[in-house]
Amino acid sequence: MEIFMKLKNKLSQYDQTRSFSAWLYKVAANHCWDILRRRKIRQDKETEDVDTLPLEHPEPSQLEKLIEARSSDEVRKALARLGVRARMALVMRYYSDMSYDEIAEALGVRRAFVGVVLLRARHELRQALEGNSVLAAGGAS
Amino acid sequence: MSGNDQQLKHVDEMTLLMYVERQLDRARGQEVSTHTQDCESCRTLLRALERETRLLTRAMLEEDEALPGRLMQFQERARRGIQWIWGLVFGLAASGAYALYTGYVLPWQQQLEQAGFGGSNLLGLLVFQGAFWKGWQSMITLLEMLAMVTLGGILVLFFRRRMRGSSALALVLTGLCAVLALPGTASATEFRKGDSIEVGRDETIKGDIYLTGARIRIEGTVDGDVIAFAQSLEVNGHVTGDLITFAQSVHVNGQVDGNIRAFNNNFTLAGTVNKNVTVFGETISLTSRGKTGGSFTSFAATLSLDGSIGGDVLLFMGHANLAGKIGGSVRAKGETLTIDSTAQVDGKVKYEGHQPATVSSAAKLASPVDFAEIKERHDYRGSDYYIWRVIWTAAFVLFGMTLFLLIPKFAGETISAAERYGAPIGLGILVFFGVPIAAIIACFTVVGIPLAVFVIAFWMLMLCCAEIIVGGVVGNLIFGKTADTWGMIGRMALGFVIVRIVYTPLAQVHVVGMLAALGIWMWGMGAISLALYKRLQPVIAPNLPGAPNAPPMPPNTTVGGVMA
Repeated sequence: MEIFMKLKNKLSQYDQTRSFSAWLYKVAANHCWDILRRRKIRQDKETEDVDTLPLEHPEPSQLEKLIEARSSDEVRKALARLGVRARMALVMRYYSDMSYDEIAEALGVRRAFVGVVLLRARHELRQALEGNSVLAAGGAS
Repeated sequence: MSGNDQQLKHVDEMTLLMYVERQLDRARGQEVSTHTQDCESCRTLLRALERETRLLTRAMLEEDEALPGRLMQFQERARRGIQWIWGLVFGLAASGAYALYTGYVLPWQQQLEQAGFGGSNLLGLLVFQGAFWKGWQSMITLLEMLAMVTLGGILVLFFRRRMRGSSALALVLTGLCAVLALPGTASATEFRKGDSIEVGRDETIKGDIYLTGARIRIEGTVDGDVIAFAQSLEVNGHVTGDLITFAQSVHVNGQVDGNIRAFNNNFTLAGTVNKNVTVFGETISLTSRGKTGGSFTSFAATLSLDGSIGGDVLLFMGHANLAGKIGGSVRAKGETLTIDSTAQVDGKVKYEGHQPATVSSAAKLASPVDFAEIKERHDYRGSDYYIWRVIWTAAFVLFGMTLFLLIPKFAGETISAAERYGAPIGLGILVFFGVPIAAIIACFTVVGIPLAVFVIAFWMLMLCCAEIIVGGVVGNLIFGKTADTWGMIGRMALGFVIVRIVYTPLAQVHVVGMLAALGIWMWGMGAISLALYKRLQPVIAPNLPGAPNAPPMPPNTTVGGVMA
């Protein structure tokens, strides 16, 4: 509700040449970050992501097995357990079909980091699905 | 990760993800594509990432779009356990067969009975009334069970999202247990075998009895069914159930409260049967003392009916002689039929033979014998039949042409889907039986009725299109594939005509004709469903490692690389 109130006030600032959904997500995300900041639990995930970027190759067959065995329902439940940032990234990319530029704008990161955020989110998701840190090598939040 | 040389060259996950996401520049994309073609490990990882993308999209889209989501799940589930799918297919097929029986065969049978030909309906007597071969009853029970299990499965799927998995499972298991716990016909069954078997005059057998031996005599009482395999069988006592027998000669002098179903050389009935008689034999005789309360159905070389029959008579015979009293109607097909002076028939007499029946002037018939001469098969259907076949063929070709012109791309996709043979036929079986069942289930809710009507209408449309699709495949087989719409129409028309030419004589052979029609329907319907399903599937990531056409990105967007 608060977000919609905020949207109403900020509607005049919307640049019509740009994607509305990206702008919408950005406003919503900023609002969430503000709340988290106020609660002093927000961490600077942007830089942390890069520092702890998991580059380790997961075991392909194990990953394939993990993906094969999951239902949509399980994925939705796992998504609900993810961090805000990871969930947002996945939703923007695979549900809203937003481009990397739009996601970068909404998340307030450089475009080059969008892939990193997405990969990290996938690792978090795998961990949530399996509860197994081996598959989600280095992807713990 | 081990550190051998091969693995050192693996592409890292980040790069593969960027490749899947089409975020790599052309050169790098090509590099990854080439590598994944040679490296199985990277190819597996790439495939897993693509699947992960699809799984994510599906999971999120499914929240909003329940139906497409469910359809999309089908493929994934099929991959997970093909046996499960086969189980479902078989279950649905069984449900379909059972639904066909209850929906068509049973009402048809009842209609015949109301029309005064009850009991002697051959299919009903032989197959579905149970006593002729007890196995059929088990079959129907099995079909009922399979239908129940399938329904249970559908219910679990339906409630899965609203209830916890365990609760849904418990509900279905409880339901199944309730079905299984329904009281069955409890009876003790006795088995006797030997050269000479006799159920003594003072003996009473409670329950069914199975007898095998050279000579069998039943003098006492059997309070159940008698199933006998013998050289000779004589029943002088009392059987309260059915008598089912495979014997060289059978004499029934006593009383049978149920039905008689017999495969014999010689069969003589001099006693009383309260219900129906069905006999396959060489010589069959109902003596003047013999009496049947129900119908009398017989396949025989020589037949003599001297006694009394309460119901209808259905005969397929060489030579038959009627001399007794028949309460119902008579339908006979054979070489000769003689009706003696002592004969009395209360219903109609229909006789199909090579020559008219010989009827005594003293015979009491409700109406004259309705005689029809048996004609050769090729004269049976007039030229009208073929003219109508041609007209219908032309109409279907026109219908197909209209569809091809309206939706050429989809028509092409459907024919391509049909050319995969296995998948469309499998899916076709599912759709052919599953969709009407789903529609019936939907009718239970008021909201579901319009949906059910729409679904059934669409199902019927698919049924009409099925032969056109098969025609298209046949046309493609002869002339090869084409992308041109008129080319496709030409191939479809020719293929359709060929299918009709092949099918028309097959249709004359009942079972083969029916199987051919079912095959065509299921194949065509499956192909349409498969093409529709493909249309509904979201295209998020490339399926194969070969996406060199990715749009070039600024240099700083390429993340990751060959691991050092």
